Amino acid sequence: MEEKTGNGKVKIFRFNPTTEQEPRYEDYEIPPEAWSGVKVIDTLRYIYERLAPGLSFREPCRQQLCGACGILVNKKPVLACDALSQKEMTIEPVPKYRVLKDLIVDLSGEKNDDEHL
Amino acid sequence: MGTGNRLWQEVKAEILILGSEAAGAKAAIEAQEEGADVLVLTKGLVGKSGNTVMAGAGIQAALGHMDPRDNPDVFFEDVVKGGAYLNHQKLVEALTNLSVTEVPKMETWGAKFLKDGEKFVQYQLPGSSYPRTLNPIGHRGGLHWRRAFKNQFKRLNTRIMEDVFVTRLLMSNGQVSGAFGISLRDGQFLVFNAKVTLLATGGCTSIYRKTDGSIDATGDGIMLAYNAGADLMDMEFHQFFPMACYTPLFEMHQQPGALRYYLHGKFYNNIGEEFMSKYLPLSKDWGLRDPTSRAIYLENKYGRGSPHGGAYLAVNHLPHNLIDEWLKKHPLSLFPKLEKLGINIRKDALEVGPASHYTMGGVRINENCETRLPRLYAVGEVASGMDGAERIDGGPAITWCLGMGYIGGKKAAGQVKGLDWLSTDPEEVREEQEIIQSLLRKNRGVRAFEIKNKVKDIMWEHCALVRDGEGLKKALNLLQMIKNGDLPDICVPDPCPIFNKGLVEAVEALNMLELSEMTVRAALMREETRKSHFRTDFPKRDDKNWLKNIVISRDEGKMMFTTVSPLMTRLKPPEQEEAEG
Repeated sequence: MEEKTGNGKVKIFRFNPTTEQEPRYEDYEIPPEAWSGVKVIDTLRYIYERLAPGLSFREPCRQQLCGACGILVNKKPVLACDALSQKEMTIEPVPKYRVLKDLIVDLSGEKNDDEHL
Repeated sequence: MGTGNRLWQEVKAEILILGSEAAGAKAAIEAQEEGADVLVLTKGLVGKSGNTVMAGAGIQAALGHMDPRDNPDVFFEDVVKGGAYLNHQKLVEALTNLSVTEVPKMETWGAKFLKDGEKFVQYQLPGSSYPRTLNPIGHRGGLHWRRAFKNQFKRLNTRIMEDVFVTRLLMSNGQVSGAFGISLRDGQFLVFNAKVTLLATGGCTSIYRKTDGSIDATGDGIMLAYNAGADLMDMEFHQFFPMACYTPLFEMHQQPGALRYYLHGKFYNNIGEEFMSKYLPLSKDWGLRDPTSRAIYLENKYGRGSPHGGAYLAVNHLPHNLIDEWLKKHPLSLFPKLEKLGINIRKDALEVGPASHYTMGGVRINENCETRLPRLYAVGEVASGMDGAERIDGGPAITWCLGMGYIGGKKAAGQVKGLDWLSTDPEEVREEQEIIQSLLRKNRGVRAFEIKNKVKDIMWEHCALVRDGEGLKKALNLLQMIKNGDLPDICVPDPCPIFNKGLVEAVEALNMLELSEMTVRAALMREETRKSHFRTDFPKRDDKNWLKNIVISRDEGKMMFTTVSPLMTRLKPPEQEEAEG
């Protein structure tokens, strides 16, 4: 049985290329309701609303239809609105694209939709 | 420009289009075909924002491929009757005619449809007299529209700026001269100078707690037009889709709708009744969207809803092999995911319920998609007049986007040939820049998402499927409390302008609050029941007094409400009211 209780630990890639030299990772501790039985997008939303108001990420459709919220969770490419949250997560932008801020990358070089995944 | 230091960057385009999805994309393509210089802006990413990419199975065109009796005239009648005669009939006439050419054109642009030889397969959905709904392969219309538009953008080398959030239309001697916005990618303020501006920014479905639409749909374009002095119309009419998924983890997904539309699913309440027949004795489970949504809402009020506030939708009356064959032909992504949770549509019901789905109201336009303001057009869901009191079922939304994009794009391209450039008023730019900068400076106070949440709850509680005077007045008071109490303290906690969610949400929250107030005030004013607008204290349609559109305009900062007669060029309501809905 998967553990459903206890605080979750989320490590998030943060980077503002206009003011910072290097990206950094921020740690956020979140209560069970913010990770257990919810999607990664809900966890990001929780962190944005309560812990990191400057966090940038995309979340337009929340129904696995648009593909804009693609990120890495524990090194695996997923849609934030599709993947279930885990108790311990490292969340990063998808690789190979230029980071615009935090989890948002420049997809303008993408040849096909959802190629970034 | 800017005195002293250069605070903003100027961008010029003959035609400025706000919004990059179906309506905006189509307008851009048509205008470029006419040789115009076009710039398309979107607050998100092309093909990855707004509601077009989320579109499901249907798009309507009066082709008559499955039944030769269908044609644009029948389509016109269905739309106007469906809208309870509040539609702009010249606009509807143009759009139903254009459906015949512009929808099939999507196939040549790369969309793939279910076909039978040369003919398009067309389904008959609720509210259509004959089979009219074309079926994009795989039930994911959005993917096909996205591909089709991107192909054209590529062919025409369309100039597009993504992640640009526009906060104001700019005026020059009473004419629209472009727009002010911020590039979310680098925080740069942008001043767009255009000969003509087109709004294609979609509706405001997000003003409701439950919505199956994109969170982008905050009505920004409706407010841009209103703030600049254009008229709005029909803001009391919002459509609710009855088959949004209510099952946890998949809340608001639209795909359960396919079970009703394409497998004739049945609705049940929590005591096993096929309850739709109580509310809709004629159409039963095949009812139109709003009455079906209302029936689910009322069953919940009487304690007969599903655990999460919806109803049960099931296809388990069908043989398994039939369902298996259907699933093979329509590989919808939701059902395998639900199966992993132990929900199997072959035997289990899905929990479904109403969700805010479409905005009938919006910017008031004429049949040329022109607004009241010179040099400003509105196309797609941001506009009003196509649908009247209710958009019909079966997928006309993208049809309207294509038709209006066609009209607006061509008209704008024709108009710019004879127009001079207007000058930008630097004072106005400075004023707007100061508004945004002061938001960025205010780091403590009420967060925008909190205001949004409050507004959504108020609207869902008091101004959604079932309305009455008392509830609407309460809603108005609650909205006023937010306006007076929270709004002056609205803050943006992070000062960095780059992809600042808090900043975008602050402007969106202001827009949502205003649009909600308009909806409530117009709903209060309309003392009758008409299609999507259902008043328990005025349960009858009142053609004598209310065969009218409510027009909203801004006068010295105040909302002004007036009524006008709808343009009825071809069809007038019969003496006898229709039996249902």
